[in-house]
Parts: sequence; structure tokens; C-alpha cells
Amino acid sequence: MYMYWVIDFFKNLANDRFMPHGMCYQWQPVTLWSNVLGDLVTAFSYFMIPAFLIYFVSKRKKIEMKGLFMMFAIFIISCGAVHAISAVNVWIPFYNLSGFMKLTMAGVSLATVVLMYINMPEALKIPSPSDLQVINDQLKAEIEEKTRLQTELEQQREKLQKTIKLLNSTQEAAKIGSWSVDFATGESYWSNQVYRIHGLEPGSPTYLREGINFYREDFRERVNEVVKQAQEEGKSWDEEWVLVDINGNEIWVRTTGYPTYEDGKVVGIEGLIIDIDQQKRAAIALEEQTVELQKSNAELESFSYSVSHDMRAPLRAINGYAEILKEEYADKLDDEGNRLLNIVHASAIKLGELIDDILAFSRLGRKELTKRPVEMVELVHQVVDEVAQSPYWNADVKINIEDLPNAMGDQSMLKQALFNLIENALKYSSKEEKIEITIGSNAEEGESVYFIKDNGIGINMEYKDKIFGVFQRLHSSKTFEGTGVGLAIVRKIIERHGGKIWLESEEGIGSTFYFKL
Amino acid sequence: MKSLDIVLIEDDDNDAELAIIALKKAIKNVEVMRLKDGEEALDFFATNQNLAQKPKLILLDLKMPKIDGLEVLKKIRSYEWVKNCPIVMLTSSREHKDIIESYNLGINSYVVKPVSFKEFADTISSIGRYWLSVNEESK
Repeated sequence: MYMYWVIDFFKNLANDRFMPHGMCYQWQPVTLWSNVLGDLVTAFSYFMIPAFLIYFVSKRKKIEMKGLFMMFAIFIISCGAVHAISAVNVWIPFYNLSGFMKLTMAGVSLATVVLMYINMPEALKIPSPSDLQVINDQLKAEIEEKTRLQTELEQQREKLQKTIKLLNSTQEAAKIGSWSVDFATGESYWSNQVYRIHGLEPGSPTYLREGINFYREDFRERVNEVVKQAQEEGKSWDEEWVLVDINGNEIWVRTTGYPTYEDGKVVGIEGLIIDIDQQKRAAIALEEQTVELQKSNAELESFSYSVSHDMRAPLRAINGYAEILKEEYADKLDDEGNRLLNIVHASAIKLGELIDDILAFSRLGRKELTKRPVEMVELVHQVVDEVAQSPYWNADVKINIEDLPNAMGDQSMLKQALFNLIENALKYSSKEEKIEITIGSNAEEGESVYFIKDNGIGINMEYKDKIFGVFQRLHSSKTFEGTGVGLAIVRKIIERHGGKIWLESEEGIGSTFYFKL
Repeated sequence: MKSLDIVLIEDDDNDAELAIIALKKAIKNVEVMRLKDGEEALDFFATNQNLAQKPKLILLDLKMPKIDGLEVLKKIRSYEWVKNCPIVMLTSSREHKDIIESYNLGINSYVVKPVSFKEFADTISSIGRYWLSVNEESK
């Protein structure tokens, strides 16, 4: 029965009980061919579309909902088959086949609908190309940002390395090393320079105990003490110790240490170690020199003290007895005897003056300087009054005292200096008919420069430095009396004030002595 | 026994002789006793204690061997009988600390011995005359 129906069906695929569909078009060519062509081209397209679809699906490795695509393909093929049979039906009435095809198409389309319904939620999840574009753009931007950050990081890393290098070279140049100790791990860090200070290659293994043992034995107790104080009391240190490097060289170092905290607890120490060997040794040498100098100064002091006593005493005797001789025995001596006696007497006086001047000069070096404001005009007037008692003062002396700025200095020392300078000016002008001495001042780069100008015999500028030395005299004492200490005393006074003295002079014209304090 | 006018404590023979010459020249009939060093001076002031022998002026050299002027000065000021005697310190030293210490220990004046005998004679005789006359008046 079933078989019969099937046979019948195929028997009736093309039966002539129906008219071909062309009859409906009344064989009108336009109607007929437009329908036939429409169906054929559609059928062709409907066969080609699934072909492309299948090709696409097979080629695309990753594709969502492959089944749906296949279903679409079958659905479109079945549509194509319906159109193809429609074109055939114009001439041959395969209406059964056509019906069968349509039923197949209906089934397939219905299945497609069901399948679409099932797959819809998943299909909705598939991002659209524009969504994908947005995501893509975002992704691109993220990648760019990441690349930028990476470059920046790289630059920072390079910078950091440069900084570390710079720090290392700075530490090397400054002979400063930095170190730290972590109590929890027992690990210590030494910068390259710390190794170098210890005479080690950078990177050699280090331990706190080794570090301590590098210090000279007499410092170790102190080292342990400060480390303990840092650990227990949070005290920092800054001290100078002697370190014995790996080669046995003793080096003075300054070390500092500061406790490092975590949650209020000391967890380690960090600090610096500075090679101060050269400075320290220089300072020690200087200190020794100072002590030596103080010693020799004290010796000098006791020397001048004993000179003042011991040399003056016999001199007083020579002088005293010579004077008594002159007074009481002059008539008992002949002229030559008196001449010789006078020489003895004058020489004794002269030697006495010399000793007094040397002692005054040496006292100057030891005397403490008490700086106070000094009214220079007033002081110069006082000095001139005293100089006026001098035997060099004759009737024709003109002293000009200009307006002088006040000075900061030791009044009695400045008085002595001014006395010597003005007396000097008078002395070396004493052969002139009219003596003119000017005491004035001018400003030089904001500093007051005082001057004493005379119209005396002048000095050959060749000797401009020599005349300030002790016992330097340019003239025999027959021409001008003096011990040769006066200007040395002046220079010492000016220099003790931190000042400077110099002169301008021309032989036969006069001299000008300048000084500033 | 003649009254004592001046006690001169001076270790240097020449200085002592010159001082005595100068004093005798300036003051008529002046009686000067010279003690040749610190030891002798201490001995004199410790043992004598005779008010009749109380000097009217003591001239004391600062720098002497063994016992110096400052030590002698301290001792003199501790003896009742010469406590108020005028004392003039003689010295070659211009050291500030010596001068100040001498004044602190109670000297009446201070003479820096000059090299010139004339100057020395003038100074020492005027000091001698001054103190002798002051003592005369107070008597």
C-alpha cells in the first residue's frame, strides 16, 4: 500500500492529468518567459548562495553557530529547488514534485525558524562588526598605552642606572660610602665606595661582624657601643674612627649611623662612611705644629723675658759707671780718654734702645688685640703732640691733619704705629728747610686707607719691602738715628689688625706711607 | 743705732751699687741697707722684728734667683712690723702680668729700671725722697 503510494507519486510526478503551467500564461511569451527567467535566475542564485555559504563556513575555522549556517544553506537550496521546479512546471506539470519540494522547503524553513529561535540568545551575544571595531580600537589604545608605559619604564630604568652610576662615582670622588644593616635578615648592604674604603673589591661578601672587625682594636669597644645604642635606644652616631683596611693600612674615617624604623621599632641601621684620612692627618699634623709653635712661642717669651733682665742688667752697669766716670773723673782723663769714654757711653745707650725695641717688637706679637672704635683724628692729634717733643722737631714744621674716618682697632697699638710713622716722617724730613707732613685718608674699594705723607729724602722703591724688616736700615745711624725696628713694629701692628701697609716714594721728593686695617 | 731709712733688696751687685750711689747723691745722710737676695731678705724680716729697725722704704727687685721678689713681697706683707712699709718694686720687666701681680700683692709703686743711669738715679731718688718725707710727716 505504502509502496503503491510512492510508485504512484513518482508515476504522477509528471502526469498529464494537469495542464502545464504555461497554459495559465496562455503561452504568452512575455508572461511565460518573465516567470520562467525569474524562477531560473532565482534558482541559480539560490543554489549559488548556499555554495558560497558552505564554502565560507568550511573555510572559516572559527565560526559561531555552524549548524544554523548549514540550515540556512539547506533552506536556501530548497527554495532554489522550488523555483527550479516552478520553471519546469511551465512546460511539464510536475506538480506533485513541486508540492513535495514545497513541503520540504516548509519543513526546512520551519526547522530553521526553530533553530533560530533556539540560537537567538547566543546570536545576540555575537558582537557586531562596529562593536568589534570599538573593542578593537580600545584594545589598540590599550596596547599603545602599554607600549608607552613600557618605554617610559625603560627610560626611568636607564635614568635610575645613570643616577646609581653617578651616585657611585660621586661617592668615589667624595670618598663617601653608604651602608645599611637589616637586623631581621642579618643582611647588610655596602655601596661600592664602602668596599673601596675597606680595600675590598665591590661585591665581596659582607657581614656586620666583619665590618666591626675592620676598625682598629682601640675603637672596637666604641663601635660596639654605638651599634648597641642605635639598636636598643635608637641613638644615631657621628664619629671619627681608625679603620684598618684589608691590606693593613690605617685610615681615618668618619662614620655616621641612623636607626631605621618599622612600626616604631628599630629594624636596622643605615649610615655613611667617609674617608677623611687626608684631612684628619693634616688636622693632626696642624695640631702638632700648633703645639710645637705654642711651645716655641713660650720659649721665645721666656727668652725675651730673660733678655730683658739679664742683658739689661750688665748694660745698666756699663752705662751707670760710664756716667759716673764722666761726671766725676772727666777732669782726670785726657781728651782721648774722654772721647773713648763717650763712645762707651753712647754705645751702651744705643744697645739699651735696641734691646728695648726688640722686646717691644716681640711683646707686640704676644699682646692680645682689643679692638674698639678709635677716633683717628683725635688719636693723630695726641701723637703729633708727643712727636713735637722729638729733637727732630724744628721751627718750620707744618702738620696737616685732614678729616679721618674712625677705625676699629687696638687704640694703644694704633697709637704706637702712628707715632712711629709720623716720627719717621719727621726724622727723614729733618734735613729739609721746611717740613710738611700730611696725615689724611682716602677710600679704596669701600675701605678707608690712611696715609702719612712727607717731603723728606724719600726712599728708593727698590727697598720698599726691605724697610719693613727688623733691623733694616737704609741709612747709617750717623745720618739718621734709629734702631731699625720702628717700621717693623708698624707693619706688625697693621698685620695683626688684618690690614696692609705699603708706600710710594721718590728720592728727593718725599714718601707716602699708606695703611688700611 | 742709726735709724734705717731704706732697705734695698737687689741681687745684682752693680745695680745695687748704682742705686745706692744715686740715693746717697740725692738724699743727704740716707741710711741704706742692702740685702743681696731673697733668702737674706726673708731672714732679715723674719728675725729682726725690731721696730727701731723698721725701714721707711723697701726697694725690692722682682727677679732674683731661688726666692723672687713676689715671694719676698708676700712674706713682708705677712709680718706685722713691716706690713705697712711702703714697697717699690724694681724690675727690668715690662711684663704686664708681673706688674699686675705685684700691685695685687700690695706694692706702692713700680719702677722699670732703665738702661740710662741718669734716668734711674732721677726716678729712684725722687721715690726715695717722697717716701722718706711721707714717713717723716706721719711720725
